[in-house]
Amino acid sequence: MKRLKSSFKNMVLVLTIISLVAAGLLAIINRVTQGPIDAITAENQALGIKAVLDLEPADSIICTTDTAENGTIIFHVCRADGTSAGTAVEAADGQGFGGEIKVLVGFAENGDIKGYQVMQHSETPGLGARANEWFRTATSANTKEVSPVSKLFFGNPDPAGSHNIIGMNPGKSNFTVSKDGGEVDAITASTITSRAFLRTVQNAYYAFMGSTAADAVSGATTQADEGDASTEVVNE
Amino acid sequence: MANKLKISLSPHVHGGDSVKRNMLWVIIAMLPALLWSFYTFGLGAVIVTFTSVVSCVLFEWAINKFILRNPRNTIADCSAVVTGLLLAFNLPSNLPLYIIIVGALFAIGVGKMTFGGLGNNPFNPALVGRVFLLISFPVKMTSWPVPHQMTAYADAVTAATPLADLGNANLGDLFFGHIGGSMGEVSALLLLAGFVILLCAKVISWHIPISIFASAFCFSVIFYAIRGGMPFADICVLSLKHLCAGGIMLGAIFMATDYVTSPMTHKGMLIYGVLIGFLVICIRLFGNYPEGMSFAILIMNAFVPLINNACKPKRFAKEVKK
Amino acid sequence: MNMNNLKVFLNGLIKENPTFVLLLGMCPTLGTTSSAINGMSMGLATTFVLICSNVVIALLRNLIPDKVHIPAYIVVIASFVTAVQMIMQAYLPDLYKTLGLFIPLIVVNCIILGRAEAFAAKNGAVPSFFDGLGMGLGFTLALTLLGALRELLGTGTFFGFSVLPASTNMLVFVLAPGAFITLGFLIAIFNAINAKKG
Repeated sequence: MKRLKSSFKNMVLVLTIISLVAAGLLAIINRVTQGPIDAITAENQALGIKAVLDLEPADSIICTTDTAENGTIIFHVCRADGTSAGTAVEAADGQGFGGEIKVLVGFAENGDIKGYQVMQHSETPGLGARANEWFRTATSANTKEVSPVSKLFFGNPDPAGSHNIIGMNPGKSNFTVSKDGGEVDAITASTITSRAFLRTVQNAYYAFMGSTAADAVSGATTQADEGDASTEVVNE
Repeated sequence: MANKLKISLSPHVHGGDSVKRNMLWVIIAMLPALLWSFYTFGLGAVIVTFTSVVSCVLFEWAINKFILRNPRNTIADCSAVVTGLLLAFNLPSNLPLYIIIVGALFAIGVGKMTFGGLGNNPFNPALVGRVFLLISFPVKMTSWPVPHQMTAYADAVTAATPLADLGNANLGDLFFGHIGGSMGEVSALLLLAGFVILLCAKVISWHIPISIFASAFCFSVIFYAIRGGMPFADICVLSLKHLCAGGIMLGAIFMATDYVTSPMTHKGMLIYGVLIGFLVICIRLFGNYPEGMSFAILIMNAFVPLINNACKPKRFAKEVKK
Repeated sequence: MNMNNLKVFLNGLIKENPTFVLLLGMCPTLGTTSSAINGMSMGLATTFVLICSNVVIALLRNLIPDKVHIPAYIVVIASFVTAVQMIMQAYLPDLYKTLGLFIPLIVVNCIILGRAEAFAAKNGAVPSFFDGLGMGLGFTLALTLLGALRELLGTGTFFGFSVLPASTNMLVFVLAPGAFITLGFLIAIFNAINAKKG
């Protein structure tokens, strides 16, 4: 079979047909997959909200949603029986190392952070991408004795650091990285990501406070623990 | 005795200049700063220097013998010793040995031998090693031991570089070297002594170091003046501190002047030096890293072929254009 | 005929390995290989698109006039990539999470357009299928190797299992410069082996 000639009519015809067929197929696939994609997105969001508010994945919840003017989304979460389960706020910051960072933060009624989840980021794998784990764990002072030879060859293990923000209250703590005089240790070698992350959480907190401005005053009474943030470590 | 009669092309007079002679002079010029680092950082400095030099020489020998299969023994020209010393000068004196060995492997293996050995490397091997380590082990490479802990190694108390808080550093301390920092960079005075030795031995010319100092000083003054809020005298003192702190002295005297990776003509050297000074101040003032000397030199190393091309000397007996 | 197809297949896998020999598709190669799993998944997704586009283009090759073949190929390839993206998002959400960003990159992957031009436009559907399979698996192999090395040196794990202690991790291998360095040395080793074979 000979190849079709490159006449104007042939070219227009072939391109049109190919485009139409491709568009038609994509439309069908889009229709078929739209349902599952929406379901997964909704499920992910619900799972995320449950995770940051310390709820069981099986719990059923009812959300009412507020949107602040800067795009921050506030989910007021109720249990099935109508009691409040806390508030989750999804905030974003465009100043991460790789672009936008979107974090879902769960707040107790007094503004303490109950949990968080990085929903979307484009940080460096192995560095900034560790934000999802880093800020919920604290490296304790290493008590295990390391042999002198191993120390000479591989150095001391990571020094103790305080970077667990769970239970902290952005309104009452200095919520910046320790390099900037704050109480949270930045991710090793990822100060920019850490700054963006903390800023996002702070934005979420402000949005949360704004939405509960009426009863924000009562939350200031109970603040027991200062232990989390007391160890200062210079890790420059 | 049989080969006493040599047949070769002109010129027939040999100046006595050789790679080995130059390398030995570089080592001699580094001795004052090296001894000062032993005095300041004690045992740690000795261990780091020893590990770095020995592993650089070993890697050079092994790669030359087993991978390049070059019958000539290239460790005899001492260039690997110089690389090892320079690498050690660029490291904190409490660095774990594993990191030093990896750095030496990268400096010699990737920075130099990959390109075919001494003379073919586009980038300064010691700096390639240092930057590799800086990016790979950012925490360990940026915590420098406080001076005068003679025997502490892994447990040494560390602090940030004076560059992080230059305004409060004492100019005299910076100049004489009573500060923390990478092993070989602390004493500006003794590095300048090394500069004088190299000049007297005619190993290097003044063009590259002096143009780096001048340009770094000028651009620092300009940037601080634009930023404003400081009397001019303070700006000048701060800019002088920039010259004495961190790696500018070490880099300008010992690393930017590396024959292989710097321009050939004096005019080229001046362009190269001025741009290094500009880059290092830019990185220090606006960049993410507190110190930028190694990056500045490596970036300009990449431009050396271009500079050489632009600064070709006029060909002898060529017609003069009117 | 069968021997021929085998030859086409092996050609893509080793002798003309798209990454190590043809040096095609460098952008996803460097961008997605921060871990072995990421590299392998990217390779397999590319393989799938490559096979589909190769077969379709081989079938259509005589219907497409020469002057518009590039736009026609791009429409075909882009459609397959979009389809893969939507299907993956719907039915393999976990894989989509790690690879989502890179799937659209398949469109600009020059292996696919390159094979469409160099092979599928001149051969029948069956050899084109084997060419796509060979090239795709060669690409997958290279990306997995590169990803495994970078993961091992950079984060001390191998396919997610911890192998080396944290103190030996070299961050540079997780970052882009590490990708260039590792790729350079792998190509050197590949060349050395190929040269020895003759």
